[in-house]
Amino acid sequence: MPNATVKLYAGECNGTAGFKIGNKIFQPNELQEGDHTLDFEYEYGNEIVFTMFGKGNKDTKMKDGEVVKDKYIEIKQITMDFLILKNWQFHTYLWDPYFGKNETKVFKIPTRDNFPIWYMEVTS
Amino acid sequence: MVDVLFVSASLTFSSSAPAAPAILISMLEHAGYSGSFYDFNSYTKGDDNFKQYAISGYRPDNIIKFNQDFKYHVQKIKDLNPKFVGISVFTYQCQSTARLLCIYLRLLAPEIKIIVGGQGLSSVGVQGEHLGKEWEELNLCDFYVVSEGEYPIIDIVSGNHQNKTTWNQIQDLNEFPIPNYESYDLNLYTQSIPITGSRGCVRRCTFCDIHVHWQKFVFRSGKSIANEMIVQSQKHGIYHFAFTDSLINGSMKAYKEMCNVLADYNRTADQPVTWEGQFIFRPKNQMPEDVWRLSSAAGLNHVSIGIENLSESVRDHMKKKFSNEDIIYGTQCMQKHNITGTFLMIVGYVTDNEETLQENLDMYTRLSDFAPNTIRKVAIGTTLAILPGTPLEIQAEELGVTLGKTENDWSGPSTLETRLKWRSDIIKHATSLGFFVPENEEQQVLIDKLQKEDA
Repeated sequence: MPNATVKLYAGECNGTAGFKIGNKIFQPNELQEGDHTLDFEYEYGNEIVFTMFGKGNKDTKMKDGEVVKDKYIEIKQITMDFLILKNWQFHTYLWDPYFGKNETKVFKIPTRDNFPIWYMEVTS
Repeated sequence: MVDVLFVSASLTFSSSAPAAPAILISMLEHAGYSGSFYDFNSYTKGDDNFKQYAISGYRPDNIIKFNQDFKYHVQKIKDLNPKFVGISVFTYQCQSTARLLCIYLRLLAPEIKIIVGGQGLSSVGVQGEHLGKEWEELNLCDFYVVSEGEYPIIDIVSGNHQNKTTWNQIQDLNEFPIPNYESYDLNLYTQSIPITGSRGCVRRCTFCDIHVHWQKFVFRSGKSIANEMIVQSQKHGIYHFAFTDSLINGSMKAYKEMCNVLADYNRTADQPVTWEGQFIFRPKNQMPEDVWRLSSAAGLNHVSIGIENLSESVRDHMKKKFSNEDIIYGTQCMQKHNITGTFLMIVGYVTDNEETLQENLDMYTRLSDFAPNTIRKVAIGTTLAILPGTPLEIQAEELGVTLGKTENDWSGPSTLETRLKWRSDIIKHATSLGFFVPENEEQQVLIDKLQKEDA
């Protein structure tokens, strides 16, 4: 099975969020605030589920209507076979890479047959 | 089953047969392995989707057909049953298609090992950053080769290759077997066969990266080159040869030796050989008229010459080492001996100014009697590109040059806007004198129209 590497940033506010990529789970406060590099395995045609959990009502601090501190996870980059998906590509072709609440987003990896067309779409 | 199938990545517009696969196939066979060639570029270069993808790197308009066409070719490659596919990335414009070809092969034929090589894996000149390591890390390839592939290809098939970004220049070109074109469909190309007599250059021109990459000028014996031409012409029934060398008269000893053998051969051959290549003008004492006569008898019929600039002071700064009188002398000899030429030019050198522009214009006027029959073409190109590793890049600060985001976009003694104006002035002037300048837009429109009508 191919390996992928996720670079993400964990934002802290009353600790850090829990995060799940496929079967790999990081409990709340397990990730320190800052950059992290995590691995996961995938197969063509798989759906990789990204879930943030463990954020409470008081885990966002506001001042004058602006967020000054937040518990969040932001995907910066995924390196997989043949390509690197950067933050902007998530915004443009996949989904918002900012997990600001307890939520789930699904990364659908195309089948072997569909992969080249998907590759051309996400790199254009 | 074939050990290595070489596949050319699109997009190269050249109508000549690619030289590298034939050289590498002969090396493999010499070492007891087998090799073959599939010219993916020739099969796809006329297709708008392939052109669009290669040039832009973006999804082509008809992505469904593009996908089907790619799969068709990958199936053809699979049918040839190779253990390794060696993807030849000839220029940077082949990078997008080469990358996609790696992906299709990985997905549809994961059992095939992928090798990538070719100068196109370096962007911005031969000293630019090489993509091999990145492609290996992204699992696009198993092996990558930087620069010369003769020995690495044997190491790869015999399991002794370590990917690395450094390389050692081959010092003796005489030890290699004659290139093998048997798996080529030679009808796909203009009727000429490529040949390599040397690598590197005898000059150290300030704008050029060839002498930085190939640090030593190495060359074959004249007899060995002539012998290859005679053998290949008899084998394939093709009698014209195109040299891939940076210059064919770098070693005058080897050059004259080759010319002597070919002139003797041509005197009695049913089908004499002819040839063309890149050339340097030399002063009369280094290249007397009898050598021009001998060259013509040996079959030389066209030379491409890096004149670069028609101002002597600019050429002196470039370290070109020939005078305006040498240009006139060489062109007169070409005319006398029925040898045509393409002048390769650079506009907007770092020491160019309004005065040197006028010197250029005056010299075009002086040379106009030779246009267009002897000087067939003047290739103006873009404007001076400052490439990585060249003396100009290294001395940029000293020359008052600030490098830009791209190789052409530098500033200092002149601006890009000024250089483009000089370029336009030269194109207009040369065209008005009867020179064929492909960069002239009106001429280009006419050429495109004629080509469409021919097709």
